[in-house]
Amino acid sequence: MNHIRFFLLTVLTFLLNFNIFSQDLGRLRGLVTDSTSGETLAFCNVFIRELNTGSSTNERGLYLINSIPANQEYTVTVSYVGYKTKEIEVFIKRGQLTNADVKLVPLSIELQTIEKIGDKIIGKNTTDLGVERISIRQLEILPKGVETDVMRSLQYLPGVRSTGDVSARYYVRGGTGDQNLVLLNGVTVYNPFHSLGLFSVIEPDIINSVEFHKGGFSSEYGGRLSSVLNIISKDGNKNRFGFKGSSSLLTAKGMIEGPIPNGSFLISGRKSHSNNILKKFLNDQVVPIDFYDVSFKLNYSSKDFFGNAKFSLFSFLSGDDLIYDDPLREGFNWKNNLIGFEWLQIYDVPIFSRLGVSLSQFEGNVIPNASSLKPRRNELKDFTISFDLNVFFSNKDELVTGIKINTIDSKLFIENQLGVSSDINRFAGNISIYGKYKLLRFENFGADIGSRLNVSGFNSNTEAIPEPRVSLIYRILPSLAVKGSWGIYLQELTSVSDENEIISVFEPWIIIPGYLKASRSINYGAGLEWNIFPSLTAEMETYYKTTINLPVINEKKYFSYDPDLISGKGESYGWEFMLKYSKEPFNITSSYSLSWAYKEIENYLYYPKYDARHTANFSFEFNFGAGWMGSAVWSFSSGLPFTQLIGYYDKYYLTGNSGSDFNNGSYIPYALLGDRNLGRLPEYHRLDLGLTKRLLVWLANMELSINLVNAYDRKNIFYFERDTGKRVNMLPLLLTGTIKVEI
Amino acid sequence: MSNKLINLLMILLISVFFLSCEEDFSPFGDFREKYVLTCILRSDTTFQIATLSSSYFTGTINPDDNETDLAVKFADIRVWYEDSVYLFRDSSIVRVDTSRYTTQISFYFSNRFKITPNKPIEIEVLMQNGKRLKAASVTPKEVNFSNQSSVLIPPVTGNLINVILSNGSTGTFYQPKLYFRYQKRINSITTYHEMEIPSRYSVIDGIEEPVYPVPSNKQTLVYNMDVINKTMAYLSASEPEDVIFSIYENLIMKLVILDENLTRYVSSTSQSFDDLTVRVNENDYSNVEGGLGIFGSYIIKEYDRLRFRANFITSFGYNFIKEN
Repeated sequence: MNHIRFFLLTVLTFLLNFNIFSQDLGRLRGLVTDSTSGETLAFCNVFIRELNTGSSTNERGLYLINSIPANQEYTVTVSYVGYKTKEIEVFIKRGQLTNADVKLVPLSIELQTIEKIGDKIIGKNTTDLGVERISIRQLEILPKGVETDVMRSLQYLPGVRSTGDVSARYYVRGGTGDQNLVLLNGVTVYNPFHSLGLFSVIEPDIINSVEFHKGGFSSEYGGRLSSVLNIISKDGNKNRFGFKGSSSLLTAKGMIEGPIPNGSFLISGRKSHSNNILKKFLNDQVVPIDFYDVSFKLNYSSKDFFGNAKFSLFSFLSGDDLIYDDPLREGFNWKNNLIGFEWLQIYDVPIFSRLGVSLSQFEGNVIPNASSLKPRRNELKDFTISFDLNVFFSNKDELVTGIKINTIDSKLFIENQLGVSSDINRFAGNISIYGKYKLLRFENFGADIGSRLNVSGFNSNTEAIPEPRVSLIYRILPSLAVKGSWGIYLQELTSVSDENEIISVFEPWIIIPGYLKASRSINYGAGLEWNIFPSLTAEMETYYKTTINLPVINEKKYFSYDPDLISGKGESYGWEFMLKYSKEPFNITSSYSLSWAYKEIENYLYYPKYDARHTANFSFEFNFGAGWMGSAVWSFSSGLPFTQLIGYYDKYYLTGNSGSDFNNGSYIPYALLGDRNLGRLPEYHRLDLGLTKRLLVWLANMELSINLVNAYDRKNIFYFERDTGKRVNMLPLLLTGTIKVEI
Repeated sequence: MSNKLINLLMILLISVFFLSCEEDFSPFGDFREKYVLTCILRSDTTFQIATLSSSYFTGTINPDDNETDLAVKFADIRVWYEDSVYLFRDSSIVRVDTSRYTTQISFYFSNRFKITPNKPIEIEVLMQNGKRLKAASVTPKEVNFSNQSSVLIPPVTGNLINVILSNGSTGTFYQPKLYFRYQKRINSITTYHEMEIPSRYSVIDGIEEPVYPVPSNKQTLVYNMDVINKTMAYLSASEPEDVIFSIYENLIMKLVILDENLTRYVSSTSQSFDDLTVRVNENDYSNVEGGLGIFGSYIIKEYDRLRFRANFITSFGYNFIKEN
């Protein structure tokens, strides 16, 4: 309670001592939307020509430019990928906030040109080290596999790894998979994967914006150590009703959207219709997975009701079932359900606020049926109330602050072959506050300084641990900037995943038990950004990260009183380089990363399964014109770790199924393994080609695309079966196609 | 300029098509010789056995390519139990299954002691090459059965037979073997047999097979009457009609009580996974310092309070042999 009082006092002091409004200057604020659908456009460029300054819209499409000399008219240029650039004239009044909402017109299919993603003139002092703002167009040009997938697309960013083509799970800068926070409209999605981790649950057609923080994220995000994937969904067409449908070799999807009085709605659904394509991913196994996801959003905004407010009610439901016809086979199912309410308020003074209330549920089951497996069950319910406040000062600085009240009800039941069961049920609450100050007053220097604090943690040993975070940028030259970041991160939840499994069907979430401390990580980052030419940009980042109290499965749990989890440590560091060239009709991106990751458990140091020394990606996009677009992406990674075989021995097994007499045991050869993960698999590389044609057929926009995955059929090894010696490779050459219709 | 760039990129793309070869991959690291000691001491006999062997490398992914039994001979194996030390002598017996190894089975033995509950035990092995292995354990604690009066099968109510351990612990593992004795008379010749009652039946490869109890920490041992009924029916299922079966009244339960190290070993060898999970590393438990294998013990406790009802046996067409 003392922490909350201190926090409120600090906020009040800031507000009273800083002039939100200066009398000689004015402000410009507005919303940038698509003129046809009314959807907000995130990360647009808003530029004031006369002042050679500007801003970009945030993830909600809002922009605010401070400290504009008043009593003058200005030309404001608003530009965004895939839209016609628009210029408007605005008159800035002294001491006032001028509203200028802008509607951008989409370019016609024939005239669509490739534009730079992100104008580097804007945001000179924006502290964005490790942040990637991904447009839907970027998602669409990347290799699809079977269809566009936001999680798979992240794997092409430097610093982001996967363990192979089979999985969409990702590992960021040496962190484990459960250290990545996935947010949909501000609500946590706990298991964002379908089909054993092959695809993500979030259907790209519902996405408005994607912001990915690779590390060093600022204090408004908490509860994870490695990364934040912040997805904002579309609102639905505010101007007219529309329908979109598409089909691939795996799923069929449909989306309906349209206006309602003072608002809009969007309903989207996706359902798997065939499992044949999954055989390519799963070593030709027939896996009868059936999945669906349904998304719903309702928006309301009226000047007569809390003017400048927007209310949203949204829901997301996804489920996977894996049920064999054979009653002797085990079954699996898992579900993600979330519902949320959001109130975004723009005030007459330059303050934004967001109130969110949400419930996110995850449930996973292993159903033994008549198999020899034991039952396993996980349930997690997360209820959250959050409030965020953004205050913009006349000197361009910003104050962002917020509070989050969170309750988690987690249940996990697992039983091993000997009847040793773990029944871990916890209900706990967490109150956390954060504040950060963005120093933006200087032209060539920016800073983001803040901290989070657990006023009340899920466990008593996490209370009052501050998580300070600093991010800096200094522009040495207009085209050259250096950046740095440092921060402490805390995580109180964990996914109990077995690192010995490279395909896993059950990864439950629990609150880290009270006998362990919360995981804690210290991240250091530094970077360089160089706009070599207007069409050529280079970025370099380096990072160092240490983690303590990493919860890992206790492989020596033989008795019910043995702890389920023990504590480990992690360390990782690396260097990432990215070069982007964008000039019509090309768009070329190349990236390279050199990295190391280590884990230490009970004084045993080893490389985790996702450690790859060198990673490179090269993507090439070409606009042939007349709606034709081609792409090629080549990916390379040095070999992932594996544990070598160093021999065999005849091991004694006490009992077989021919009787329970211990004297009837037998000696069976057993593979002797060397030091953990000291060997390296062969290098991985793959070329994917894509061709897309967009056309207008009567009233419908159609998009036909063909993708050739692993074009030269590289036999990239996934693992080898120790029992049979069989080598299992990743995706072979695969030709897929999708058809999309939008009315 | 852009034409040259297109040409260059096309050349790069085409050249990448020649990179599709599959690389050779070897899963092997450098061979490390390790020694394996297996010694499980028992309470039901003075004949205690130990085996000693070494690891091997075949150069292939198939361990059966090794056809040489790598048993280590002429080692000095000593066990400390209570205040005495027992030297194990090496010996060999004829191998019945010669599908892999053809030489005799080598082992070490002592026939001078049997273990009792809750005692420390130690073993030390010294091989001729100077390598030494050591291990220690504690024999299991004694357990008692709660119900000392007769337990009749089938029960008056319900379908389950429960045998409860009165002083068991969750840290100890138990494996029951419940069996009955019977006579089989064919053409005036009587033979004597035992049949174990499984915990359940399961269809494996289309054939219904018995599944016997595995070690667990459950202190209530449960048998289902449906399984007992099925076992009684199977007894004569494949026999000619003129065979006469006579079932003894008393059933015998032998309860194997494992010590802590043996429990951990059994746990690590009993993992079962679904077909989709892919594990690339395995746990290999051993309490042998300097090597691999297991040094542990088990105690067998008998429980003889379970009795068949006469009418239950005769309902199957069998004779009932009453016992005092």
